[in-house]
Amino acid sequence: MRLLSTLVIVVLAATAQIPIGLAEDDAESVGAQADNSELLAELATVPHKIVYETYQQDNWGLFIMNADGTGKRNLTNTPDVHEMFPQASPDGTRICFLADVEKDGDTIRSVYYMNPDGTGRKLVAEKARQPCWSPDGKIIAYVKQEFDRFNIADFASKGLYFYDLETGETTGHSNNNHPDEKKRIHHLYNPAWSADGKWIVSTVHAGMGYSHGILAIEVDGDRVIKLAIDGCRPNLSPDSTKITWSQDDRTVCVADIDFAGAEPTVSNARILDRHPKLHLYHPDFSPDGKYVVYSVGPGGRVPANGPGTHTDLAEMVGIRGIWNLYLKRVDDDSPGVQLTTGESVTNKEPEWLPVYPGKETAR
Amino acid sequence: MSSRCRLVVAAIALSWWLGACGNRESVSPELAEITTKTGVAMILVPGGEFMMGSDNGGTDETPRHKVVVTRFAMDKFEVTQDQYAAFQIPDPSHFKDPKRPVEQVRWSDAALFCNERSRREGLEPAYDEITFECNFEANGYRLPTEAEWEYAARAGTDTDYDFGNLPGKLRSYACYAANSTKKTDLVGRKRPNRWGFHDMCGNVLEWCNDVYSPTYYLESPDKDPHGPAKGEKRVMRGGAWNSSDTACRAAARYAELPGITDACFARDTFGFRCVRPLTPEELELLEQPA
Repeated sequence: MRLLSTLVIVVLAATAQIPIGLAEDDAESVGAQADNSELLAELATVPHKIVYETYQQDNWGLFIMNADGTGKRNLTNTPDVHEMFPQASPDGTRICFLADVEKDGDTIRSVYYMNPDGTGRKLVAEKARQPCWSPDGKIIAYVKQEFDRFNIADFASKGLYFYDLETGETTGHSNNNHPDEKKRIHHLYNPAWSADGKWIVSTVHAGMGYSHGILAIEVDGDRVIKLAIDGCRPNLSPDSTKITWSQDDRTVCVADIDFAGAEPTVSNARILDRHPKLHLYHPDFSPDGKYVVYSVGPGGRVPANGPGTHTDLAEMVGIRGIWNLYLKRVDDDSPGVQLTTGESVTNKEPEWLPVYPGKETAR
Repeated sequence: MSSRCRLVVAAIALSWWLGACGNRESVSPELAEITTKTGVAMILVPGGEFMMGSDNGGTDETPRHKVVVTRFAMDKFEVTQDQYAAFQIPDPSHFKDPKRPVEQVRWSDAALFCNERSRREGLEPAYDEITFECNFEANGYRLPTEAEWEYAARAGTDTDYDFGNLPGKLRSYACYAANSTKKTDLVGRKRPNRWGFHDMCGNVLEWCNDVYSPTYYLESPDKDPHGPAKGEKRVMRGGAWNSSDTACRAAARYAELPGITDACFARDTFGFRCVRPLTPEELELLEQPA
């Protein structure tokens, strides 16, 4: 898939003027452009890796590649288990992820973590989903499946939980049973932990008094703040000065976010990439905050059934489709690059894996 | 009569109707009510003919034309959030309460709910879960056709509302813009129509099975019309908590994209209720004299 057309980044006023509106012909295409050799050469010098979920040969697995899309290899190699939704610890020494197995006709989705070379797999929680790391890499936050029976829906969760890697103990967020519906944690997906450790930013869908939105939830308090942006699947830059998210099916945005004030605020929202037909999802900041990698594919329902692939919309975890990964610089409007290809393979949910000298990381 | 179907015949008491709706032109027939295996109240609707459409509304409601509808069973109430919880389906609703109607429902999710309900009751699911084609021969649940919906909403009348043409009484029958608290109401809090259906006006718009065409009435068959074969949008009926009285008329038509390909596409005004064919026991029940 190679799309040629004009890419426009629209920088809005330095306030949170969301939703962002663009005419369909203002920004027509995704990432890959006619001449991206300069960016590819730059990416070849980036030490960090990208982990992502791939569906091929009837199996989901986690793959890893270099920042320029070279050196792809399978990290998991488990034909009987479906691994998805990789999330790298901030220091790059661990990857947590989801694994689906079939049991008595139902899908059991669990959270695990492992070393970046694929070894040392450890269970965090069964019937759980959507993990993310604390900034010190000591805690994995995740949400529990709302009902005992599996459901593929993005918002099929209840409560927010914290797994301590050192003690193996799990604690629940103090708002999990809050008497106020607007604070009682329900139907979160795609959480991201701020660098100061004080906030978790997450999508909420049909819960906490909202039809749909992006919230900031205080980790050690009970405050819940609705951010002034519409959309889903937020991701924070490692220093938490920027946020990227899908404003709608076809638009990935970037904005500034400030956690230093009385409550988190978003400003200077702008479109990173957009396409009139294809869907753009799962944006993720690079460890240096310079790039965003994201998934691009057709929308629509996928004719499949669990536990490897379920029937629902292609952007959801565990749903296959012809999706591939693209990358763009954050702070200029230069052309992006397409990092994966494949008409019969799904590549989505990309996650940067930091690689730092001296750390036990992927090489 | 099936032991699993609890009969509550005469749910609509004549005395209540006479007291509450003193200006009705006719007394409603008593329709049989059952409780399904999954505990849902349904009303057994006899087949019949009625005048579908209106000359008092939008052009898509014309021409007013005679339609024959085959008997069917229809939910007495809009599908509620506790019905989703009973099936362990995450509740997509904005306004949470077990007895409020489920909303923010895509048409496709409503169809999938119908199938799940069918499976739970040992019935044949009506929808293909990839193409969403409806098998009308299946004995399981499905969304009502537009004709079935209007037939049930009219409940034997040919006025704008089943209680007459003047919307003054609508406050007693509907949660709509003039009396809502900017959200849904508990199902069944308003008066039912003369066949016993609650919230046919207001609360949430109700998905129908039919594809929408503004000109369908010019070409629709006289008997059991199922809607056009193709089209982008699906029909919604009945008005919602934020609708005007005009939009709550029995003939008023609305249409929206079904949301088959968009996870986030839904509004907190979109809900539904289910129908299914009658079982042999229910058919026998329906044919008994009241």
